[in-house]
Amino acid sequence: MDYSKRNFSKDTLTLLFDRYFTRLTAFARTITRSDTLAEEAVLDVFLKLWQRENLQQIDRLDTYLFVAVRNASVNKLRDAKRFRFEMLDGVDVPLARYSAPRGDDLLVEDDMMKALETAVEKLPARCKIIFRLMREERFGRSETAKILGISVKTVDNQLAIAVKKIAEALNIDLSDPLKSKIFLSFLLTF
Amino acid sequence: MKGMQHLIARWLTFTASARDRKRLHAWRDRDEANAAWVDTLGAWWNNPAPRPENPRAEAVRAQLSERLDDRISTGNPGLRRLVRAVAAVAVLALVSWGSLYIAALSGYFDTEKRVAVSTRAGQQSCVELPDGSLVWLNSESRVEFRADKQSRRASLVGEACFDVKPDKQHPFFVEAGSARIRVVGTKFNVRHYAETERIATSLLHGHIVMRVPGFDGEIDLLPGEKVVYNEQDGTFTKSHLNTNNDILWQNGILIFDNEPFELMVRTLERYYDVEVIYDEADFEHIHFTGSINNLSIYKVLEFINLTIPIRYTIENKTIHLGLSKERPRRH
Repeated sequence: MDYSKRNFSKDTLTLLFDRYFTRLTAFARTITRSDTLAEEAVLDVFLKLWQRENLQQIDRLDTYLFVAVRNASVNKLRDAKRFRFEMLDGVDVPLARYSAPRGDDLLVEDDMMKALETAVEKLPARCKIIFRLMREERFGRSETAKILGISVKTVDNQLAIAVKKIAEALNIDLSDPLKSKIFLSFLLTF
Repeated sequence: MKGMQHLIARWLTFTASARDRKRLHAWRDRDEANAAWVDTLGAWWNNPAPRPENPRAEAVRAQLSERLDDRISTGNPGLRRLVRAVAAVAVLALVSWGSLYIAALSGYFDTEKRVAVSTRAGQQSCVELPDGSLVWLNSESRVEFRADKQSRRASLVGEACFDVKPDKQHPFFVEAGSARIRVVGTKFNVRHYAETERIATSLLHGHIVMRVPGFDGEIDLLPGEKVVYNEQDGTFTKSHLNTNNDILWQNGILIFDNEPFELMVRTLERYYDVEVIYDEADFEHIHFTGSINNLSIYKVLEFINLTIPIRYTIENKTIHLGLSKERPRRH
C-alpha cells in the first residue's frame, strides 16, 4: 500500500491515541467485557486510522472513533467465538432490589448518587451502554444512535427503560398522578 | 400517554415539552422521596465524575508504535527506496537540464505551492503541517501554508490551536489578520473570526512574540498569558488567566465570559451548524457568562433560558429565538 499520500504522521496518531485511549477502552470494555479484547479493539482502530489518507474528511472525530471502536469490539468478540451481539440485543440481568429508606430517612445526596451508580451497574447490557454514552461521554441522542447503529427511537426507549430500572432499584414509584386522577374521575363518573 | 420514565428521559435529554414538564412536576411534588430522587438524578446525570486515566495507555501506545513501524516497513522497502531514489535522480536530471517548468508542474519541488485546509460549520479538524507541527482547526476556520518543510509559516482565518514542533534555528510564523506571531516551539491558540475584529492569542506553553500594526515593539507572551488585539482601533490588552480554557473547544466545551449575545450566537451557529434568527434589538445589551460542555443545541437553549427567558422554535437547522413575553417580575 502506498502511504506516501497520507498527510499526517505517526506523531499525530500517537497524539490522538493519548487523547482518546481512556475513553475508548472504557467504551470497548462495555462491549467486549475483557480488558485485553478492549485494548486490541482500540489498537485496531488506530491501525486502521493510519491507513487513511487524511483526517480532514472526518466530520466529528470523537463520534467517528466511537463508531470504529464499536465495530472493532464486535469483531474482536466474533473472533473470540464467544459472540452473539448480546450487548445490543439485550439479555436482561435481573435487578437486585436496592432497599432505600423512605420518608424521614431520605438518603443524603451523596449516598443517593452512589445508589444511582450501583443501579446503573445493574442495568441490562444494552441499556447500560446507551446510558453511559449519554451520561459519561456526553453524546447526544442522535450521536449515540449513530455510534451503536440503532435508531434514535431505540435510544429514547432504552434511556426510559434505564430510568425505570434505576427508579425501581431505589424504590421510587413512577406511576403518574395525572393519569390516576383521570382514571379515578373516570370511575367516579360512572 | 407515555409512562413517567419517558418524561424523565426526555427531561434528561432536554427534549421534554412544556406538557411533559408539567406532568413531571406534578409527579415530583407528590412525594418528598420523588423530589429528592429526581433532583439528585438530574444533578448526577449532568455531572459525571471524571474518569481516571487508563494506566495501560503507555504500554498500549508502545504496541501501537511497534505495529505501525511494521506496517511502514512492509512491502519491500528496499525496492521502494530504490524507485524513489531513481525518481529523484530523474527529476534532478530534468531540473539540471533547465526544465524547471516540469518540476513545477509535478509539484514536487514547488515550494511556492500553497495548501489550504478549511472547516465548515459543525466541523473540527486536525492538520499536520509539512514540518510536523499540528493545527487543531475549529469550525468555519481556514489555515493556509506552503507545501515546504522549510517554510514554517501559516496564515489563519477563524480559530485554531497550534502545537508547533520546536526548532530554535527556524522560528515558526502565524499570520492572523494584521497580526504576526513568531514562535519557537510551543502550544498556543489563536482566535480571529471576522465578526469580532479582534485577534485573541493565548499561550499554553513555550514562548511567542507578536507584532501588530500601530505598535513598534514586540509583544512577548509567557505561558498563561493572553493578548487581545483590536484591529479597528489598534489597541491591545494583555491578561494573565487560565489559558487552558481557550482550547477547551477541542473537547466540545464552549466557554463564554461576559460575551455579547450576538457573538455567543455566532459561536453557537458555527459550532452546531445552525442558523439562529432573532431580533437584535431585543438582545442588544445582554451579555452571557457560562460554559457549555458537550450539550445538544436543545440543551444549550434550555441553558440560556435559565438566565435569559427566551422562547424558541427549531425547524431543521433554523432556530427562531425571541425574548419570552412572561419575563420574571423584578423585585
